[in-house]
Amino acid sequence: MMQRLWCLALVLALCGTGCAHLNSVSTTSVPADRGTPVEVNASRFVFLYLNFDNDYVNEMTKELAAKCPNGRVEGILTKMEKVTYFPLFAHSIKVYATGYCVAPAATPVTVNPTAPAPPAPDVEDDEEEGGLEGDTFIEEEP
Amino acid sequence: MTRWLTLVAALAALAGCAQAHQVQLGEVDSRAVVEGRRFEILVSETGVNVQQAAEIGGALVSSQAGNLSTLGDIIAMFQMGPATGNPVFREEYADAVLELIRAECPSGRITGLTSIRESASYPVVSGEVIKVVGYCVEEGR
Repeated sequence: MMQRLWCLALVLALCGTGCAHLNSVSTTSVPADRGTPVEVNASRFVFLYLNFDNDYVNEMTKELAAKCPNGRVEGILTKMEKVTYFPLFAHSIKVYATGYCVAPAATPVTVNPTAPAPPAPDVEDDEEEGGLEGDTFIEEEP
Repeated sequence: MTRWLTLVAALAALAGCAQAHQVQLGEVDSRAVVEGRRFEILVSETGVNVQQAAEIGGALVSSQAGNLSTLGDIIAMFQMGPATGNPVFREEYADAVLELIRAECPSGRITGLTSIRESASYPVVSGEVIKVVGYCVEEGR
């Protein structure tokens, strides 16, 4: 009898916690200023594997922007996981994004999309001429 | 109960389940997200679930079920490494994404790029989709 109760408790505990599977992780360049972390997440509960779109992640960018008004969010770590609460019937897809809110760059750099790729820089020449020229230009803010 | 399950299975088969494999968010310039224009790019290729095709083929031609199963196993041996979705016959379809982003935003001022790798699954076949959502700041802003 006691053994059955233990087994039941174990099964209930496993069902209650769920199994988490990590699907994907990605990160962008991490900034030096890491004083203001920001985090957003999006999730969807899936019943019987019926999920007809993944649009729930589309608003994450806007949510990150709202948490860092007039700044830039850099060093974004995106993590996607799936949790099985009960096999076949109940699942959840969760996406987490954490990053750092930093002050905007004074002069945003814009790459000319129609220009050909720049040649590989020669270190010695760059020192003499003062850096790359031509294909990349800096656009002043209006 | 069986009717309900059949109905749910039919609905799933008709609508096609969207399965997300990977999500990646790029750096976000908050002002550009507010002022910019949102764009969305979809590229896709047809994937084939060989195992499912073999099972259906086996059910239709019961005398050849063993052969089709073996064929499915042989094809599976040539699929190696971690994979997302079903195998496709042409993997270069993903290369078009960069050109499409350039076409969507000629100014080049792009921010908040979200890349989603997903599958739209139907019986036997699937749409292996790459979706990119971003914000473009037009020239003169």
